[in-house]
Amino acid sequence: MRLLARADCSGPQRGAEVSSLKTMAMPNLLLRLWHRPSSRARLWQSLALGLFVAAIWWLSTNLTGNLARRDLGIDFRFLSGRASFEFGENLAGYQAGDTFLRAFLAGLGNTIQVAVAGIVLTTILALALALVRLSPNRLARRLSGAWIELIRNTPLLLQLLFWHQFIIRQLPMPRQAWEPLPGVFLSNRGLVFPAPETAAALLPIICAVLVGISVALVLRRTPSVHGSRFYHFLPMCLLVAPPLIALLIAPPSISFPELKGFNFHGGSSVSPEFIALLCALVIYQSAFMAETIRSGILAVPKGQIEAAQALGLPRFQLLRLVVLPQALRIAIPPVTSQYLSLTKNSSLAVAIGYPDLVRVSQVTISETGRAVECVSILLAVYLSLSLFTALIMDVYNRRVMRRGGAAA
Amino acid sequence: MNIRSLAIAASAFLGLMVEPSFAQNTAIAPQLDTIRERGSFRCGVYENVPGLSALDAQGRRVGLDVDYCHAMAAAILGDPTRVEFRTMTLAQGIPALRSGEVDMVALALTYTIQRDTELNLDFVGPTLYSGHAFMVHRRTGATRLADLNGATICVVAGGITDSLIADYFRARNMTFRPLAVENTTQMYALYEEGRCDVVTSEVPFLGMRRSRLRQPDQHLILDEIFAKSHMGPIVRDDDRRYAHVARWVHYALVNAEEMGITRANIDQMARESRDPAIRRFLGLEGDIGRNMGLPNDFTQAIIRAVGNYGEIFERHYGQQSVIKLPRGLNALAGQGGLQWSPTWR
Amino acid sequence: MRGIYRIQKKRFGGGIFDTPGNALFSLILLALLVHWGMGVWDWTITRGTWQAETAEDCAKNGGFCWAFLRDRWRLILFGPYPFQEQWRPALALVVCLALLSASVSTWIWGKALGPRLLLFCWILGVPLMVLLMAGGMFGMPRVPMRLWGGLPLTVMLASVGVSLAFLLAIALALGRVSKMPVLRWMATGYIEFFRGVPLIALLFLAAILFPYFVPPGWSMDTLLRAQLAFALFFAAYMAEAMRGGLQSISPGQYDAAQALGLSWWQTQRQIILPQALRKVIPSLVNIFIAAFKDTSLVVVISMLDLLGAANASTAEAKWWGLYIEPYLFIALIYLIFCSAMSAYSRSLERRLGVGER
Repeated sequence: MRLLARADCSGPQRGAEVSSLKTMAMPNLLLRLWHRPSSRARLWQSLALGLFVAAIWWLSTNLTGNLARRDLGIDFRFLSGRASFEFGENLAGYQAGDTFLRAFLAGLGNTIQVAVAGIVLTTILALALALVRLSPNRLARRLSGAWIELIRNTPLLLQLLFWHQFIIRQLPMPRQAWEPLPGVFLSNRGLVFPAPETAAALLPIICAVLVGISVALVLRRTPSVHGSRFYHFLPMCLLVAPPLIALLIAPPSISFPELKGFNFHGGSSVSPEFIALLCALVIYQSAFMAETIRSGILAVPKGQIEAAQALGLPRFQLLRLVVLPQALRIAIPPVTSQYLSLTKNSSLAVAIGYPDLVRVSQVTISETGRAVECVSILLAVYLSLSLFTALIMDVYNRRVMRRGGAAA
Repeated sequence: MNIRSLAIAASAFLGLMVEPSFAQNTAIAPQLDTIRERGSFRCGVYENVPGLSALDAQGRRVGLDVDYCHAMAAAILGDPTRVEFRTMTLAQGIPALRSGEVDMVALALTYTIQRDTELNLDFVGPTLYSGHAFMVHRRTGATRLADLNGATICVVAGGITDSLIADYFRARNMTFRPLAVENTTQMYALYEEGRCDVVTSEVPFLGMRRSRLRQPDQHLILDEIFAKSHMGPIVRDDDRRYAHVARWVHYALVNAEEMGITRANIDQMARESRDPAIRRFLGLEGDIGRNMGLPNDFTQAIIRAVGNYGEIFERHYGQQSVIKLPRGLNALAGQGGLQWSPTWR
Repeated sequence: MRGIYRIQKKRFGGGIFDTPGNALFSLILLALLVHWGMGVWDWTITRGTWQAETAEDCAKNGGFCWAFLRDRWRLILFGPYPFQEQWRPALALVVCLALLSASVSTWIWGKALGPRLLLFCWILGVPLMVLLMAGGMFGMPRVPMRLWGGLPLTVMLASVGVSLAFLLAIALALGRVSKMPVLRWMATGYIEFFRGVPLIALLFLAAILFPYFVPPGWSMDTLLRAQLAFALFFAAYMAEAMRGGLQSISPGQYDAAQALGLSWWQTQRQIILPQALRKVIPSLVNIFIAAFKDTSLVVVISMLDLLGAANASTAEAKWWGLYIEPYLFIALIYLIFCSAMSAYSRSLERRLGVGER
């Protein structure tokens, strides 16, 4: 403003006045931009985006430069090459000489095997632990609390290494294996148990189970006659009867393990590394999950419990019919993130030699030199698992919100 | 032209400005220059494998592979102590070399065609010729390789041993259960616990490890060798000059033994020798070293640092060590072994 | 929550011997406890060996091998650090613990100048710790990074990692709740990526792929790479915790700040962040406990932290074969640290929770 006044007062400098007006307009424009929130926001975002792009550019230039220097390149065709390392056990039936892709699938299969078994066992153990933690007996509560504190405050890797050493040293050699059940042998080479000779023999039973489940689900939709005992037991019958019938009609031939030479032949087996990994993961994660389930149970409104008690429900029925359904609904989001934690924690298997995805990745890098590709496959797999879980949780959350039930 | 497009253009320009300044990095810098600029030679070795690389009672690193690292540092930098040791496991070795993390990897890796051609690596040596054999508990009752059908065999992850075993067993319709572990200490620990029936390694190492087990006479080393083994340090082959230096450091050590030059008499030889071959080898005549990009007397630096091949062998594998391995295949070619050096001219 | 407990107590009792069923159950539990306790006593004290030279001598009694701990406790606690100089990591550990306790005390966060004082202390403290560990000045001989190990390494990895993560997490949390879409997407992308991958994969990435992503000639010690990986990883978790805190601030606070004419940064710095951070300290302490336990993962990239040192202590032929003794020893150390921290976090939760209502 002052500049304008001065330019006005001094008449002969009219040319200078116009140019000084122009030079003054620039800072004015910037000030206007700065004070307007929307353009300031755009400025910050462009700056952030610019920095991000510059950072990515720097990293990728370095990467391509370094790869070019070493005559490497990012190329996923190595996956169809022949791998020469051996696994112990795997679901994908991989053997030395199969492709690297098959090796990765075998590693993924092993990871999923541990994750699924871990999730099932953890849920059972965590539920039991949570119920003990809420028991009416103060001693039981204190003891389970101490157990949970002990497990939660020691690192998982330490527990895993401990279990691994324990299993290998305490279990006997195959010649003196324990036999808890006929045909089931436990030794420091793992657990062997009778199994159908081929997976195909299980097909009729699996089909029967699926048929039973689908019929039960369909029948759930149809209104039942209240009080009819038949309808209470129908779902259970549908789950149990078809497999039994299938077993009678087409019994699969079971192979029993026998000790021959170095180890057991026949049957199916799981390695001691798998058992150690499962023990450590289940015990560790169940301590966390027990606390989650317990907070879920405690979060059920006390009005519900009072109403149930007023109806005269005994404790077990109160838990089963009133508390647990609501508690589990509240607890499902944190429990799902616990499941995801378990899956990610299974990557610790590399420390005890269980051939999971991380180990396959490591050995493939060593054999083919394709470090960038293998690590990106590894990260992509874990990321997809997490994002998939997050998606399911999102869908579940929205359904719960829509129904107006207890918000997660 | 509104502010948004201006800002987007500005950030794009910023990105473009940043990019060209780093594009110059794609020029290949010679490895020798990089090492000299850095001032030290980076060598990947085992943490604790007696004979190859381990810490002695004074906390210094000693071993056959360690001596090769010192020799390289002596040749390139003139000072054998300017070595940065990076300890690593077998599985980490080749990736670390290929990424440029280390200049040379000395993990007793076997010379294979795939490593040479596909992985663009060059081999130095072989510094040790031997064979792969098995060691079993006596309680298994196995006395020959054919008895090992169905056994659980411990191997170290990341090497080719398990594929060698797989080839051998499959050819004879035998099967085995592999158990991959991180390092040799864990391997022998699991073997002694009984987790695996059989452990495999090169013959000299098996003998040495057996003497350290709790009941050495309970273990049997099978005579049959199922695969040949020729191991040595490895370098990248993208820099031809540097790869030549690495290979000729080994040949210098063998040549020195052929000529009778030892750490004890190198000074006297350098002063008094009239033999033109020796004078050329020691860099007193000719330009061989200089044409390689090294100081002309680099062979003198190497021998003063670690001695000749025979001395290195005796120190770590031979009579002065715990392994007490006879020279056998590792003797000079003229004395019934396989170690030889091309002519130094 | 207390209400449910009261109902439980009234309806189910809460005692030990109030009903016959309870009494019987408690008696069984007590009997089992006593039996187990006697077994432990027998194994550790009665049959424990205090003097032995090798693992075999210890195994003769079949009890706890105290002799091993007497011989090796310094190796386990300090790793391969030179014997004479082990007072230096011990001192660095004390400095670190002091910094940590200051960082989580609500007293400091409550004061106006508190955060700045804290930042100042950290800026002084970290170089002091590094100086103590590395040496090279003031007459302290130089100790290279590959010899750092044991408990000081564990505590330093966790604390420096979490402090760096804290600063990054504030930026991420503010970005996550920002109204600007680009910042929100970038922050969300970062958080989802680092929460979706396991820490082991990130450590492998840092160890193996680091040379590919930097210009040739740049080199970073493995320890620093692991530190970077930790910081980036835990920043994502802390950002999520802070987001919860930020979202729990009532809009009235923002309105009042706007009415006072404060800029966005002034609002955040003086009004929003102090409240939000004070609220999420318990969650941040829980994340620190997780970080403290996860430092044990560096053993897979060949670094000798507390767990690595415990593994290495039995690598020699003399003590080979023992696993319970070293593992129990470090389990006790982890237990002491983590229980103390989680007890503090719980007491904070109680204190802050009451205060808010």
